[in-house]
Amino acid sequence: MMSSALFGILQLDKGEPLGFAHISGLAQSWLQDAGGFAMIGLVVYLLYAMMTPTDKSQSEKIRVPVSFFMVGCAALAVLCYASVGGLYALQAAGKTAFMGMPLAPPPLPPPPPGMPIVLPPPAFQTELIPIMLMIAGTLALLGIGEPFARDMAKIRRRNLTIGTSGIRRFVQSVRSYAGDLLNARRLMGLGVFLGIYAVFGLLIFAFGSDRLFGIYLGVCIVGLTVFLLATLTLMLFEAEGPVWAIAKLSFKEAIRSQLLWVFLLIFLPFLFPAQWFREIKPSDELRVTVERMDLALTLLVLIPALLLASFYGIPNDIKNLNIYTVVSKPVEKFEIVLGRFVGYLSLMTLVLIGLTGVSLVLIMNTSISQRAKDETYKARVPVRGKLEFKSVQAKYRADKTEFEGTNVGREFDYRKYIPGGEGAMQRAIWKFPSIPANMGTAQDDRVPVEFTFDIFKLTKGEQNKGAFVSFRFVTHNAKQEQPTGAGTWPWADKQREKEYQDRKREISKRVNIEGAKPGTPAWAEVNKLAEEFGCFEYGSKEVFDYQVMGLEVPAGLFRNALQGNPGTEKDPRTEKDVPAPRVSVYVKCETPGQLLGMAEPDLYLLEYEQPFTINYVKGMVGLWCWLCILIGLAVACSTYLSGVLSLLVVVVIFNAGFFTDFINDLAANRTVGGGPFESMSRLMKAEQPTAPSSESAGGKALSAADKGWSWVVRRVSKVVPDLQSFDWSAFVAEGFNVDSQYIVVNLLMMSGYLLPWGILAYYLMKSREVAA
Amino acid sequence: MAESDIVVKTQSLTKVYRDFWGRKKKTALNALDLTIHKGEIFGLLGPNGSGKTTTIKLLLGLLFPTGGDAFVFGEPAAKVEKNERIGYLPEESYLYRFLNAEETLDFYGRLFNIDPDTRRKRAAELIEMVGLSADKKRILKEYSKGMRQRIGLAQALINDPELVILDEPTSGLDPLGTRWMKDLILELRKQGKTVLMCSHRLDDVQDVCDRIAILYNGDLQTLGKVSTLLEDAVRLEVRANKVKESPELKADLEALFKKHGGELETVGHPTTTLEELFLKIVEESKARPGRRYLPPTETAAKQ
Repeated sequence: MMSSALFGILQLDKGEPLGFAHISGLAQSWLQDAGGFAMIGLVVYLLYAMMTPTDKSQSEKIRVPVSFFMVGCAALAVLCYASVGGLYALQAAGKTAFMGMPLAPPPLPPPPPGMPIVLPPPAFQTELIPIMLMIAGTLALLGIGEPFARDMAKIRRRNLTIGTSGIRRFVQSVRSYAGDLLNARRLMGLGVFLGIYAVFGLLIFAFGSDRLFGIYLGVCIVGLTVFLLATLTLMLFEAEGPVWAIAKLSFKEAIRSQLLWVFLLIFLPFLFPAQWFREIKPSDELRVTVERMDLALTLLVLIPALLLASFYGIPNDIKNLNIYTVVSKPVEKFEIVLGRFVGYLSLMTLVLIGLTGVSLVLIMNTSISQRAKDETYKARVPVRGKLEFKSVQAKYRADKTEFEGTNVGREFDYRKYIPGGEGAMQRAIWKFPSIPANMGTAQDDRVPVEFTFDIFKLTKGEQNKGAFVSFRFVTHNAKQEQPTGAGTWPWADKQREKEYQDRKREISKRVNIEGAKPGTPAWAEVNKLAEEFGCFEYGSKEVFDYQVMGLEVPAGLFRNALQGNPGTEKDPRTEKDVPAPRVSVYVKCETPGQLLGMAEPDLYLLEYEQPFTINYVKGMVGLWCWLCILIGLAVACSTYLSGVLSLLVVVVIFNAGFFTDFINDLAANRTVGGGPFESMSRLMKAEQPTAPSSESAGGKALSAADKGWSWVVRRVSKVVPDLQSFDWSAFVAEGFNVDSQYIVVNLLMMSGYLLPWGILAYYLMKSREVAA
Repeated sequence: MAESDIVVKTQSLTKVYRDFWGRKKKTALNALDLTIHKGEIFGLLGPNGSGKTTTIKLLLGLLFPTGGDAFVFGEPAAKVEKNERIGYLPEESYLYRFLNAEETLDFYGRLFNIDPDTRRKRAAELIEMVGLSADKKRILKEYSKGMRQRIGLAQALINDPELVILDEPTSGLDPLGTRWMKDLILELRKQGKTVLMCSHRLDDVQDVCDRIAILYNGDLQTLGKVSTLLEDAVRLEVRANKVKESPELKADLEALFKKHGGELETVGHPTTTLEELFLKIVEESKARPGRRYLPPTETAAKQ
């Protein structure tokens, strides 16, 4: 979803990450997708139950329970799916509504020529087909989830006693465990270790290297934190119930297997900052270091987790027949699955915490150039707007179409360009429908605005010279009008524009408006002007290619923007009414022969900045979600497959998660050159992928086969996790705040992904004869 | 016997192993009907592949029956809760090798939700009982086969079970260990526990079991009390003390048995079992270190 560009700018080529506003849409789509799989599972389970002699054997009746609720849900779900089939048939017959209700959302408008297909963010759909699919999915999930929920309630009772007796028992366990843990031998060992470490520290201190001593102290703090957390985790595992016992067993098994230590020893050097090994451009020092560390951490955490969860754990128990001694105890089989998941996840979480801490200590104690600090050693909290490209009105243009930005023919057409020149009428306009109220009262009466543009040169230009760009910030109280011809962009209210110009000229006589700096009397005048008229102009800012640059905008402009109601306007893309902007930024390229390239995230108002360290830690939540998904997948697969097979399955599914864009293209049958069948035909006939498809019967058959294939891919693609939506490394590396709502949505998405796998693991484990 | 005294009951219990495609591979157990009562030691006998271990696995829920049903303490075998009253020692001690004896018993105790103090006390007692006090901190990977069998037995008893299921309990044990195990099984009966054991070491079964079932190829061949099954009703055994073997004695005995309508088969000295001889030697060596054991014939000659 987001990536760091070659030149170090945060690219959001699929739009903003998902936030709270998308939860209802995500939930609906989850019910539809997970519900579809649940329906398949429900049918398979009921068929299996019919073949099992539950009427003759009480044991089988317990093992394969079928309740009235389950059958009822299945029947209703089938009814709903049948009606969805009927609605699809109506749609195929050309109908758009049934009993006055629209059948399906309108199809997406095709993207502008040359633009990539961007799927809209998930939104709750109120049309008949999506609603019926959601109801059917919910019923199927309820049906298949009923035995699971019943057993989970039983497992909860056995493993979590909420109340005084549970707490008493837990305290008793912890006391008993702590007595064993902190015995004289261990305490002495710890003392000796700390003593040696202290001597080592004294030597470093005597050596006089502050940075090295900082690393020493940092590592000491991280080590102690991890040690305390590990002790707390082990104490938590002392709670009553088999899940905790098996979790502790998994924890110990992983520690004593030595696999983890081998990995840490081999890959630990990769955690050191990149500039220790090679020379990096000063401004890129931090982002390269962060990206490199992120990669090292990902490998260090995910590979051992994958090996532990797929090879050790359940497959090992079954191979070594340890499972006989566990299943013959009063233990539900799913308790083994949960215990393994909790054990491995706890251990690898501790590893992740430790490595995050160590990497942060190394970053904080590495000499970073001032340019790198200015660009990325922070966590910007931006306010982003919507970008539009405009020029003179369509009817006055030669091609009679609205200007939508120039495509300069770059391979990656993420950015659109405006040509430069004094009389150029093309503008890139950022519209901000809402702005935070505190911007009106910003510190020093100024609001920073940052931007990073791409300059596409048509002429050679001068070395080390940028392009000149002018900015006009206006509020809804100073609406601009799309021009009809050459000149400048006029105000809608001409009288007001004249008043503004007159006042500006008058102030210019007293102070230098262009050179006004915050804290000066000139800035106070500029603020007054902006607050009164809702306009602020900055002419001729020299801008360099792909460099983060900034402007100070008077807070008075935002005070003006916060007054009154901007109303609504038509969205040119969807033709729907949307809130009109409170603030708009008009960007013009002044240098002739240069084209200025921009994408929506390239300009933003800076609300405030947060510390880099907190952002770094927040970014790791995404990696933790990956870890959960990986361990969950591996444990779920290992309930039925051998170690090697579950490893392979997890590797395939997890890696596919990095290619969701391509899978989505396959699912939508929009790959260049057609799907696999058409592509195969083109290969054999040595045809170009861009050549038009054959209209012959054979060509049509291939096209139909591709459509069938894309249908299969659409269904199967739901099994693949969208891993890119959990990756915050670009945000951290580029110095942008990872918003808390992104993290909450990540956690919800991760739980939503793992729950169906959990249910699958429950049924697989329950139906498995461990001694067969 | 009252219904409440029945600990294990199988009704036409059948297990058929199938391949991936559902084709029948082998009938491991065929319509087994069995009842085991409270307080008895029950032995399942049979050659390899006769269905002994399959029966145990079905009772424990490790396998699912193809037909029929099994009940333990009146509960269907698939019910997990019934395992709270069962202790199980598998054929080989399948324990976690990276744990030590204390950790092993603590882990299995926690699976039964035994409270920490009881768990700790019981673990110490069991380690003492199986003679592993000196090795309780060593990880199981370093244990010998016999030691693993002992700790395996300890884990089977951690919950103080009412039914103890032992699959080849003397496997891997030396003669001393075997005797110890057999004594322990008898001790468990004294404590009122029910023991179900399976073995192909016939002498072990004969020594401790009250009743046995002999399986062959998945079918129950015979079932009953050991003493009844082993009794040879058409022959008579007479033993005498302080009598020397001589042709006259033999002639007199022939005449006596002829008078009662029978015939003498053999006259000779009885022999002991190799196990008893071995145990006697070890006992004497312990009592008088350095002295060589003399068989009774040599002892008699010296005297």
